[in-house]
Amino acid sequence: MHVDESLSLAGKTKLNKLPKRLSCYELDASKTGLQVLPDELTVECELRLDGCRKLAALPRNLQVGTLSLVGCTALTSLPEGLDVWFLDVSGCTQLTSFPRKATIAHGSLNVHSCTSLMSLPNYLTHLGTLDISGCPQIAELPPGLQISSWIEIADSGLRGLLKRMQGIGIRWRSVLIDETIAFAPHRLRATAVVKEKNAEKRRVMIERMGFDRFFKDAGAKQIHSDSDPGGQRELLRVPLQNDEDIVCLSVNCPSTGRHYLLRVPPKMRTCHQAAAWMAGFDDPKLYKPLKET
Amino acid sequence: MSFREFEYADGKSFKFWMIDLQGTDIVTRYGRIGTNGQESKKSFASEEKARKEFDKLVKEKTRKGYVEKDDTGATETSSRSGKGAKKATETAATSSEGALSSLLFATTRDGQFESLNNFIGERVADFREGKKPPKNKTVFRVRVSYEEMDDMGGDEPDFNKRMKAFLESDAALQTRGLIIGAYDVEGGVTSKDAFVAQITKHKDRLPELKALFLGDITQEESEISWITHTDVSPVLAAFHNLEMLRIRGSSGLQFSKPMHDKLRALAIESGGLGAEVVKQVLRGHFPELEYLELWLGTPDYEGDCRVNDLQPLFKGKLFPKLKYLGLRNAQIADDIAAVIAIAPIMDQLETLDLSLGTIGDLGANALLQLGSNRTLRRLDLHYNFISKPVQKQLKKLPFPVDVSDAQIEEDEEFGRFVSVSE
Repeated sequence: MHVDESLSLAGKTKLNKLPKRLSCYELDASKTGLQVLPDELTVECELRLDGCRKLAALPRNLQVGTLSLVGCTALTSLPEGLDVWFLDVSGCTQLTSFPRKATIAHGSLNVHSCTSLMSLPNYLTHLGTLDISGCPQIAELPPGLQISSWIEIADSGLRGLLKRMQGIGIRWRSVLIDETIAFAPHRLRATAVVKEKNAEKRRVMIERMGFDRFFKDAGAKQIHSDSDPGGQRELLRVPLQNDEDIVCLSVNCPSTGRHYLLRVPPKMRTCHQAAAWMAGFDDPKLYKPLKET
Repeated sequence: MSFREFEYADGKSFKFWMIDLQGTDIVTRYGRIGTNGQESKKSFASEEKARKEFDKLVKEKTRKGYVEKDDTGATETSSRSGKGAKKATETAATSSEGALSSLLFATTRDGQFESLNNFIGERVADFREGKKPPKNKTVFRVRVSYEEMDDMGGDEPDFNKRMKAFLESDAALQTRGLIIGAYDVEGGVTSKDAFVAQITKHKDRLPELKALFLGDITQEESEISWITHTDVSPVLAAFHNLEMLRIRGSSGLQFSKPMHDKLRALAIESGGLGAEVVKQVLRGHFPELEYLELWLGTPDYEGDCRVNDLQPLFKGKLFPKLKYLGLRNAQIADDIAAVIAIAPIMDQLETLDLSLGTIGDLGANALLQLGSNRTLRRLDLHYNFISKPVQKQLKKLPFPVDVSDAQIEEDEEFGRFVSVSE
């Protein structure tokens, strides 16, 4: 069966088989019940199988411009001989490895939240963009890899870029950051955070430093303090230029003894008011916890 | 090389510039192609200083988009030897077989549309029924405008009547370039079914047609997104000798049977080109295509093409003769830059045009990889969002890079805009 143009079967949840020798320009079979695809399948431009939760295997030597497999949670491997420009396997949480031989080049590779994925294959050499965010086990990049434009790294295990990659964009949940923020957050100082004009970037810098270190380093001012079952608690403030102040309630958990800095609206004046706000009370007088654990 | 000759063509101008280094003197000659132009001479204290100035002037012209003439190419004109003006026009516009010079394909530098003065190297003549068309003209425009209503005592001119009169006239028989402007004085839409049906039905009246422009409409007449078209495949099927097709506006546009054995240039100007139209073009059979210009626009105006949709094109081989690729006015320009910089198609292109788009430093950085490219002669990045330091790096590439009219991203919240949308 040959289709000159695009074929869309998306959402046909009962579909569990494609005709043999199907060929088309584009095929969208997202959210279908497909478990396997026929070996003779030919798709020229784009094959979309997003959300096919039963999909277990793809044909060997599959060659297509764009292959999208977002959230194919049953998929544990990709086919040998795969040849693609754009590959999106984000959310394929069971995917553990790449094929031994394959070509993934020129376009982009997105392995966002492939939490079981241990590493990237060495045959990756030229990519436009790479997204490894949410892959805590990926600690390094293939030595021969060159990236044209940007790499997205939030919550990945990556510890640094390759030397040749200088000049490419480093993104943290879409926000452009520099190598210090990305790989050496321990060297970040609160003064740099306060000076940073871009609010998105500032947010990432604080996330990377952690509230605790940021507040200490910034010399946060105490607005109020009292005590609760966890011990002493404080309401702390760091003023920011061109943005609302950062105000946090510093508390200890009465059960575990762990220390927490919890961000609250900048209008808060007392620890109790802040605690009430967190519990969902706009009027602090109404917040009378019987017991805090 | 002490003598060099350059040409520049767009919808507004059609001109040449020559420079000759003669010892400590620099002689330049410039003017409209087809005329002898003006000459100017400047003397310098030393040969070294003259050479330096020569290099600087050449660089300046190439940066502005002037293209160096190929000594062996079809664009050879007789302007250099200063022969008759008419002869030069003819040779500039045609090669020995009557084909268009590829220099003439580009016509629109930016979104400040004005009615075309020049088309395929000739001044445009507006056709009016009842008036005798000028002699020896081969480029005509059919349009109606508000201004005419005064002349006609307040009556609205009728496009279809005018088109009919044109097709019946002797002028049609000689027409090599045909421009369709505003179709009615109210909304200024163009190329409705009626028009495509009309010219395809009377294709025998346009035996010389080589170049067709549908929608020479200014923003005053109609926003680009209001211009409506239809399936243009009948035009491709009817005019076997068509070499150039330019279309402004993409609402309703379709290529249901995208094929033509001789088409060399295809351009679609749009504030938002639907992915479906792009895919139709890329599924097409255009073996002679040298020039492809697509204004992709923004999703706000139906421009939903993604870089993935362009992959069949980036693989190369799709259009084996392609030399110029323009992916202009694109909201996805950064995505395009990231991928095309390392794509096989770059081994065949002489010009890559990503102008009028939203390229920032990330996309521009990717384009720096083109330093080792062997075919590229020009990279057009005018009207983009590239910072000064990165512009500087781009200018070091071994071919001219146009980074003029750089935009500044003023508002982080709203980001970057393409040049033409509504």
